[in-house]
This record gives sequence, C-alpha cells and structure tokens, in this order.
Amino acid sequence: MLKYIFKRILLFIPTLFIISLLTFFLSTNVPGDPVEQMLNSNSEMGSSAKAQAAEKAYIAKRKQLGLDLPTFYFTISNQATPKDLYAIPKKFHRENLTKLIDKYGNWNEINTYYNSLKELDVAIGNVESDSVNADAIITIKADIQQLFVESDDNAVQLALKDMQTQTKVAENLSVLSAQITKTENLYKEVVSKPTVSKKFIPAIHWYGFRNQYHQWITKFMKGDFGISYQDEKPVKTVIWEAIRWTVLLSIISIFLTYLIAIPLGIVSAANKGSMKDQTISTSLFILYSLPSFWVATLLIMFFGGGDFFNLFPSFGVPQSTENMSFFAKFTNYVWHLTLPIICYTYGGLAFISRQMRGAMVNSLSQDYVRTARAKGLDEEKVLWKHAIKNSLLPIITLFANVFPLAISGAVALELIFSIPGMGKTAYEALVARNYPVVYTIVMFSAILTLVGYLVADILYAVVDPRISYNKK
Amino acid sequence: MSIKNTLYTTLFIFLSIVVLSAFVSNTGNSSKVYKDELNIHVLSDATGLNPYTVSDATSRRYVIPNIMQSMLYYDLQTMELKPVLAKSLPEVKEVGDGLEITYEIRPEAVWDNGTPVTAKDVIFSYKAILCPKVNSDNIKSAVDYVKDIRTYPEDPKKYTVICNKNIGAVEGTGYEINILPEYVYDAKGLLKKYTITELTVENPKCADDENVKEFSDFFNSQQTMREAAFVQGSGAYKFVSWETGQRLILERKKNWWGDKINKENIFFEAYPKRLVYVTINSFTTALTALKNEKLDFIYVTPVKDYVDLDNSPKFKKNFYKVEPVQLAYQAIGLNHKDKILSDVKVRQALCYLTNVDQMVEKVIYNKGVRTNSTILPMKKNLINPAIKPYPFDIEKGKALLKEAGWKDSDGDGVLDKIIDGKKTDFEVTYNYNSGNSLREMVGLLMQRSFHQVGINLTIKSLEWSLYQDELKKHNCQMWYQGWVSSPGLDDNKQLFHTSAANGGSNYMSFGNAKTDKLLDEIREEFDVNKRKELYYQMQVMEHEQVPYIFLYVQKYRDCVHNRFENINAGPSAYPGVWFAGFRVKKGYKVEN
Repeated sequence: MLKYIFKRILLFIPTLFIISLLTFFLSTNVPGDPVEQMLNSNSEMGSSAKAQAAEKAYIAKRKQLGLDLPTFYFTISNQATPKDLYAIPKKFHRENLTKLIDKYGNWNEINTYYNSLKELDVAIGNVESDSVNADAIITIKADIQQLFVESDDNAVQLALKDMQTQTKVAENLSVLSAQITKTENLYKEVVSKPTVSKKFIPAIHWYGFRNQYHQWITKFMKGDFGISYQDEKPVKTVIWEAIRWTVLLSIISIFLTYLIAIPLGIVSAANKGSMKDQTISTSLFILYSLPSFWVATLLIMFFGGGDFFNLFPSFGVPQSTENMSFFAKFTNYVWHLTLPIICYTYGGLAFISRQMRGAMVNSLSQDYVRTARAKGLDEEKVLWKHAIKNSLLPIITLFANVFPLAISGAVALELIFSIPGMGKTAYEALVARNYPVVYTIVMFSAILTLVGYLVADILYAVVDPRISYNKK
Repeated sequence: MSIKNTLYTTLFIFLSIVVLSAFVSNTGNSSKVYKDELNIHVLSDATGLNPYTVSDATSRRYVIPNIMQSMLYYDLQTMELKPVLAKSLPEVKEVGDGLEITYEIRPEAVWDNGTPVTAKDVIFSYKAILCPKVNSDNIKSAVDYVKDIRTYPEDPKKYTVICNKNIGAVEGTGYEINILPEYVYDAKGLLKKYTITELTVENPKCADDENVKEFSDFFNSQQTMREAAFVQGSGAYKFVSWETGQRLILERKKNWWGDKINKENIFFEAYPKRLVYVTINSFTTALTALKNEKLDFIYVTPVKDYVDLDNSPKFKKNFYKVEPVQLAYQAIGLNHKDKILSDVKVRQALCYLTNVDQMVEKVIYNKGVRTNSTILPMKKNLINPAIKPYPFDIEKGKALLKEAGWKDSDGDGVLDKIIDGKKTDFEVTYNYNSGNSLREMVGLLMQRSFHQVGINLTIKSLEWSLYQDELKKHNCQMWYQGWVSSPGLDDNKQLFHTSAANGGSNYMSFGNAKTDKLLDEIREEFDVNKRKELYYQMQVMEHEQVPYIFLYVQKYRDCVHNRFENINAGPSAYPGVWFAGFRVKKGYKVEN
C-alpha cells in the first residue's frame, strides 16, 4: 500500500509539470496585454486628456514584469523564424513580422526591410513641418504606421507608392525619397526571394534558463507565488484572504449536502417505485435543474430585505468584531451565510441522493438483508443498521471529488453575494490578466484534484478489503 | 437507529439555528436612530490608497480625495477651480516660451503631526512622481512638462512651478497632484539628494542609485497602499480599516486644520463621522441592500434598474434620486482609413441615418442629453452656436450616398460601388465590448435605420481586451467609444492629432494639417477669446469631417438616503457628488 501511494505521488510530478505548461502557454497566448492593462486602468472609459502610456514606459514595465524574456527553455519552430523574435517589444510589429515570415520565409530580408522602415520612421520625424508639406508628412507617417502592421502585398505596394508621391509635394521631403526607394527595393527583395521551404524544416532554438517559465516555476516551488498585478499584494496574501471564505462555505455545504441527501436516498430506496420515491426524485431533479445564480438572485430579492421579507442580509460576509460574545458571533455567521449556503447546497442533493439510492437498492437485494429480515428484524433496523453500512461505500469515495471544488469556489455565487472568496478572486484576476494570481489558483486546484483522486483510491482500499493495489 | 437519529437531530439543530439567527440578528433594524456614517456603494473594491500608483476609479475618485488634497479642486457645479490647499488661485506668468505658476499654500494647512504643509512637501511629491522606478505611469503625464520648482527662503509656503507652455499646466500642477507629507513617505530623506531637473531628464543617472531604489521599493510597496501609518494626507478623513473585498472605512479627523477655514468652499465641509465604502459586485444585490437601508449612496450604472427603482415603495420612502450630467460623452468611432468610410460624404450620410434622439429615449431612458462635439453641453460659452446637430433624415442620407456614388446596381437591396476596380457592397461592422447591453442596443438601432437605405451593419461583440487590441491596430470600421473629459480646458490632441494615430487614441486615423495646427494652437493659447475662436473652428471640423458620430452625454444615476442634504450634485466630481459634504437633515436621529 505504501509503495503504491509513493508511486502515485511520484506520478504527480510529471502531471503537474504538464498542467503548469498548459496553464502557462494558454495564458501567454490569450489576447490582451498585461503590460497595457497595468499602465491603463481597466475602465470602459478612457480619459481623453491624458497621454497614453508612452512606448518607453511600456518597455520599462515589460522588463519589470519579466515579460521581455523568452517564454520557455526552447522553441520548436521552423528555420524561417528567427530565435530572437520575442525581443521586439511591440506586439503588433511582432505579429506582423510573423505574418511576413509565414508568407515569405526569408527572415534576413524581412529584417532589413523592417529596419529600413524604422529608419524611415525616424527620418520623417526629423523633417521640419511647414504649411506646404504638413499634409504630406501626415500621410507619410500614417503610411509608415500602416506598413508596420501590414502584410498584404497589394496594400504594402500601395502605401509605398503613396509615400513616394507625397515626397514630391515639397522640396524638403525629397531627402526621404532615397530612403523610401531603399525600403521599396528591400520589400521587393522580400517578395522576390522567398524561401518558403525553410518554413517546413523544423528548428529548435535553445534559450537557456533565462526564460519566463523557468523564473515562474522555480519561484513557485520555493513558495514564492509572485506579486499580484492588480494591487501589488503578494499572491500568497491574496489567496489566503480569499480561501478562508470559500473553504468555510464549501465545508458547511458539503456537510449539509450529505446530511440531507443520504436520508432522502435511503427513504427513496426503501420505498422504491412508490409515490414517495417519485416525489423525492422529481423534486430533487427540479432543484438540480435550477441555475444557482438565478436562485441566488431570487433569494436575495425576496429574503434580503428588499421589497419583500427582511430576514437575511443581502450581501457579504460577517464583519469581524472583537467585543461580540461567542453566541452573537456564531449567529452572525449563520445569519450571513444561510442564503449562500442554500445555493451552494441544493444543486448537489440530486447527485448524492441518487448515488445513495442506487447503492441502497443494491444492498437491499443482497442475501444478508434477506437474512436480517428473515430473522425477524423490523424494517427500520434492516435499513439503518445493516443495509446502510455497505451502501455508504460509493458515497465516501465521492467525497474525494469535491476537494478541488472546495477551493476553486463558485464564481457566480460569490459575485452575487459579494463574498470575497476564491471564485471572485479568480474571476477578477482572469479579467485583468493578472497572471500570477491565475497561475497560482490553477496550480492549486490541480494539486488538490490530484490529491483528491489519490485519497479516493486509498479510501476504496480502506473501506473495501477486496480492493488491493499491491501486485500479487 | 443511531445513524438515523444522528442525521435527523443534526438537521433539526441546523434549521433551528438558522431560524434563530434570522431573528436574533435582525432585531434593532426597525429603530430609526442612524449611525453617524455614510455607506457608499462601490462596484469593485479599491486597489490601494497611494495616489500616484493606483489607477482604478474607486481608489482615485471615491476614496483618495477625502484623505489627500490638491492645491485646487474643481467646483462641482460651476466647474471653476477653487483653492483648497492653496490660499488662492495661482498666479500664472508667461516667461519666454514657458510658464511660471506661483502657488501659496494656506497658512493654516498642517499635517496630522502638527507640522505645516510647505513647499518642501510639494517638491517631494513631484520627485516621488518623477522618480524613475516608482510605478506612477498613470500620473507622470500630468507633470511631464514641468521643468523645475523655485522656492522662496523667506516664505516656506510659496513656490513657483516652471514649465512648458500648455493650457493644461494649471490643471496638471494644481488639481491632478495630491500633495503628500514628506515626513511620512520619505522619512529618511532618500530623494533629497536629487533636484527635480535631474529627475526630469531622459534616462536619469540616478536610476541605479541605492537611495532611489530603496525609496521606490518602499513607495511601490503594500505599506503605502494599505497601512494606515503610511496612508496620510491633509484631508478631513483618515484611513482606519479595510477588509479586502468588503468594506473600507475612513474616519473624520477630530482636529482637522480645514475647520479653521470656515467653509470657504464645499471642500472645507466634512460632516459624516465615517465614510464606509461597501463593495458589492452585483447590482441586484446592491439594490436590495439599498432598499434595506444598508447603503446610503449608490450610483446605478444599469439604466433600466435605475428607472425601475421608482416601483419600489421601500425605495421611495427612504431615498431620492439625483441626476447630475456626466463630464463624459459617448460616440460612434469611424475609421477614416477604411475604403468605404474614407469618403466624407459617406460619413456625413451615416450621421443623418443615426437616430440619436431615439437612442436617448430608448437606450438611456432620457437620462442624458445629446452632444454635437467634444465640447460638452455644460460648457455653454465654448459651444459654437453655428453648429446644429445632424437631424435624423433618411432622405438626406440617401442623397449623400448617391452623390458619393453608392447605388443598388444589382437590385439585391444592398448598396454597391466600384472601389479600386472591384464591386463592393456597403457592408460595415460595428464593434462593442461584450456584456455591455447598452452598447449593443445602440448597434441594433443603427442597424435598423441603416437597413432602410441598403446598408448592412454587422454587430460584433468582443471581449474587452480583444476589443481594445482591435482598436489599437486600427482594425475596426465602426465602434462604440466613451470618453471622460476634463472639467477644465479641453485638449483633444490625444484624440484627434495625427500623431495620436500611432500609440495615442486617434483610432479613427482622423486629421490633416489644418486640424493638427488647430489642436496645437489650442494647447498654447492663453487668451480666452482667441481660444474660444479656436474651439469654434475645431467644432466645425469635428462636425464636417465626422471623426465620430456624436451621441449623448449621460447623467449620473445617483440615489441618496433621505436623511442627507448638501450633496452638491454636479458634473465635475465622479460620481457627481461630494461625499464629505453630506449633512444629516434636521429631524433625523443620529447616534453619537
């Protein structure tokens, strides 16, 4: 048995590694830029008076967050893609260069063209603007910006040609003409010498340990989960503040679910097929099919002291007050948590009670039950003493599956009841691209899922001696 | 029997506790003695209380202005600058091609330890913002034209800001910057070694200095964000406690220096003993809590919910509504580089085809007013009377489209035109950020009226950051745009200047030499009448060139508990009221 547990724990390592890779790469590939999000507040209304984050600030922030490093130890790409593409700070430029590479496959040519375009951008910035050339300068600048993000051949040609015509408008623009012609020629090189075949030859680029993943995972192992982007708090604190409420709610609701569902399952099984059984099953399934966010909203509107009954508080978790007696504190907790717990609980009833009913029905057809009945025990005793013990087996193991749920929390419910738990934290972190918090929550859920399954398997063996994990 | 009994007993105990708790905890709700506090609803918790490093509206607009002060604030109704930490409005002098703005700090102004607020604190505040490693990117732009600050040895409360010529300079130096006490935030004097000029140069040498590093590590840390000892200012309230995601509490200072000013303006009135910011993420929940008198103030963003409140007797009994106009406008952006929309006649036609009045009525339930330009209706004297809004006129729209060469040549009900040698159907896409039903409604109404003339409008919702990405790439044809504008002088360079097409907010790629020149001139024109003339000209350009189809200015939808008066509703503070000024009316009992 110990050997088995040890083997399972060893298996955790590759599993967690793969999960960490998946989380990491999924999040680096979602649209949206954490740097932008940190520099500009995430509100739907921008402020027109304020300058947007300058490029300089952007680069500095990117460096500070460590996002200027390559993402992983190596990349498997093709020979056309250069090793250090990640080093180009502007995301849009990077995207466009990738498009060009996909199209033509000749990085050297593309790179010289890109550099020439950058030189042109600097050159136009140095031209003195006057009444004659102002419009032309504006057009050329716009063309350059377009070229930075344009990969369509036709559009590129048009923009280049347009720039060339604009230079004729004023005397002092002719200095640009040479640079534009150079850029035009370089672009022609890109188009005329494609090495698309390179795209199909795989290449592995090695970056060493200075990469984003390595930095994150080594810190994670040491217990340093980083700093939350949103409010600069250590992720540890963020999670600790949130997990208390989620775990409290989950434990109470899991306990209640079992407390209610087990008797219901037993009663249904004992009266299998009767009116009682059908009523219980139907009502549990109706409950199961009601979305919890809807029920939560209804409960708040009706019992939260709005226009109807003023029985429970409409939001939040109990405030910590020190001079309260234990009893007052306790009732305050119950008072605040009743509505959320109802919503957490009712959905799980159907599942557990069906499992219980199935197991019980199975037990009741067993020989030992017949024996018990035959020796004259009343039905109560048969059910609650003899049959129940064996029917509890599958229920105990179900318990392990709720483990990860207990910490991940319920997003909708926590948002509706304003409970500062894990679900709300995870949701807010996701929306704000707050990667350190997202990674940590996902990793913890993963670890707990694995632990949950392990516990389930061990429980199987413990409650049923017939199951053994040792090879015979 | 044991299992059964245990199960049933536990269940019974649980139920009785719940019932009991509901009764025990609810007693006392009906008595009408109120606590001396103002419970303010916030939709998302504040992120921190350091005025330079936070960027969210809750921290910056709701909480911080009550703890820290600036030299000047905008009066809520008149939108004029009022002296707060400053004794009077500053003296502005044009010197060469720059400006010198001289402030005098009020002689009464002191920090919590009794030491006076002096020019030294001001200089420290500027240095903290400019310090290369401090995360103050959100506010750096407010001081990026500042060159130096001159002090006067004979008067420690007087200083002169030397800066580039810019009409935003008074707002930037007076209103945007909260002054922080040097003795709290830089007790060791780590920044003393450097002058402002040294910090403003490109790539300052001090960036690698140990002192600067130590200071910025501390200044960026959690301590200045949420530890009461390091969140201090000269305002009427002090920060006392914060339960993350639940409530943040400020308490009225007992001996606040501002009490000596004798209510010179609203910013010297502070009545509630406590300001409690309550975080509730769902409006349904928040409105229930409101009806239950658990909240005293709420700004209801969903218009429908706000309108429906009138049906609630509990609400009507205890609350009243206030609707100051917002200093923010909503518009539809048009991409001037798009092959269909690049034609100015097409853009004008779309204006005729957009029924803005209908939107005001159906989308925002008349909780707003129409606007024709970036100069908002409350700035009456700056609005060019010659400009009349585009009326909703299908025929005019049709005629303009015809002039632009659009007709239904193949009879499929959709307009078409030969562009670059290819027959193109008039099909455009309107983007908005998903989940915003108001913006979706605007799209649907446009879709319907456009359809009448043979324009196909596709409505596309995008997740917020995708939506932003597409805008920045100039990949959108039409989109919904909301902007907050300043109560002070409007400077739209960031929106309309061609330089803002790259990296700025000119997602339309709007502009030509003439508009660029106007925008630059407005920035540097200090003569009121000349500036007004320039604004007039710019409005003509906005009207004729149609960077935006201007829609409306919304009203704040605020609800206030009946016991409060003196709320000072007006456009220039978010969310349209000044919390500290809320005063309990006579006749209401308040606990001491």
